[in-house]
Amino acid sequence: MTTGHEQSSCYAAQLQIDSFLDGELSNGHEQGFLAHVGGCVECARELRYAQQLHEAVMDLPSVDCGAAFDARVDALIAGREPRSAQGESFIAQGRQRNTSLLESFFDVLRGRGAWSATAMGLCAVVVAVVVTLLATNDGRATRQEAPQIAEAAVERATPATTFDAADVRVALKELNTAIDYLNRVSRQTEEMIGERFVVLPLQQSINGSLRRASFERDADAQGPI
Amino acid sequence: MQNEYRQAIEQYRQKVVTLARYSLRSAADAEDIAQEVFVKLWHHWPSVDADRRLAWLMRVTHNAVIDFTRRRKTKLGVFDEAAEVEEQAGDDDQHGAVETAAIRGDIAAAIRELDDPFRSILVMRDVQGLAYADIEVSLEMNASQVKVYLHRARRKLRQNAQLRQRFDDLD
Repeated sequence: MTTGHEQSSCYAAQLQIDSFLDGELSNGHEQGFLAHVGGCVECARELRYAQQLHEAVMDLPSVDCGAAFDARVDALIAGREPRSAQGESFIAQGRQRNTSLLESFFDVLRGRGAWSATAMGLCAVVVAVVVTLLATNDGRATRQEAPQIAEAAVERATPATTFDAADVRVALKELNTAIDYLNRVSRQTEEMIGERFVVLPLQQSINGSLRRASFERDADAQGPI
Repeated sequence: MQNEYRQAIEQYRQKVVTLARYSLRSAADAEDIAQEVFVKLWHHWPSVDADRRLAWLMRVTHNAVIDFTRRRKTKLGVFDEAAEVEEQAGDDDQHGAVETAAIRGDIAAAIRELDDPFRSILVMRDVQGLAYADIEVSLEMNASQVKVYLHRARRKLRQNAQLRQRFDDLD
C-alpha cells in the first residue's frame, strides 16, 4: 500500500517526465527524478511509456502532396496580384491618424491644471470611442471604392479572419497608449487629492498638536499661578 | 516575385500540409486548407517578411483548420485514413522506434482527438520539429505558455487508453 508521501512523489515525478525528456531538468531536479524513478516501478513504467510514445510521435512522417498541388495553387492565383501595401495598411493608417489625434489632445491636457486634466481625461475616453467608431465607418466607405480592398472586407467577414494578428496588435498598442495617458492623469489627480485632503490636514493637525504641546510645556514651566 | 513565391511553396508546403493533415480526418480537406493558406500568402505577400514566413503560414494554417472544423462541424474523431500516413511511413520505418504502421495510425488518431492549441503545438514541435520561437510567433504565445501546452498535450496523449493498450501489447 502506498503512502500519501509516495503518491505525491509519484505525482511530482510524473509531472517532470516531459521536462526530463526535453533535457530541461536542472541537475538537482534530474538526480531527484532519476532517484525516484529508480525506486518506483509505476513511475519507471510511465517513463518508459512516455519515452516510447515521444519517440514514436517524433518519427511520425510529414505529409506532402506533390507538384499537382503547386499547379492548383498557381491556377488559383493566376491573374491576381498581391494586395498593395497601401491597401493592406489602410486601416492601420486610419488608426494611426486616430492615435495622433489622441496624442495631440493629451498634449493639450498636459499643459492644464490637475482638475481640468481629470475632467478632460474622462472626456478623452468618450472622444476616443467616438473617433474610433467614426474611423471604422470611414474605413468601410473607402473599402467599398476599391475592389481589392472590398475583397479583403469579404474575407474579414469570415469568422477567424475578421481581425488578423496585425489588427489586434495595433488595437492593443492604441489601448495601451490610452491606458498610459489615463494612468498619468490618474496619478496627477491622486497626488493633487492627496496633497489637498490628506497631506495638508495632516500637516495642520501636526502643527496644531505641536503648538498645543509647546503651550502646555510653557505653562508647566511657569508652575501654578 | 512569382519565383520567390513558388520557392516558398516548395519550401513550406510540407509543413503546412502536415499540420493540416494531422488536424483533419480527410486528406482532401487538408489539401484544400493548404491551398487556401498559400493563396492567402500570395495576397499578403508584400506584408509577410521572409524571415517570418514559416510562422505566418503556421498561424494561418492553424486558424484555417479551426475555421474549417467550425464551418463543417467536423468531429475530430477516429482517423480512418491511416493508410495514407502508413504508406508514406513505410520507407523510413527503420529510422523510427515505431514497430508497425498501425501504431502510427493510432497515434495520428489520438493526436486528432486533442483540442487546440494542444494538437497544433504537439504537431508543430514534436512531429515537425519547429523551433519554439516559430511556434511562439505562430500562436502568439510566450515560451512558457508553449511549453506548458506542449507538456499538457503529451500528457493528454499518454492518457489515451487505446494508445496505451497498443504499447502495452508491444511489451
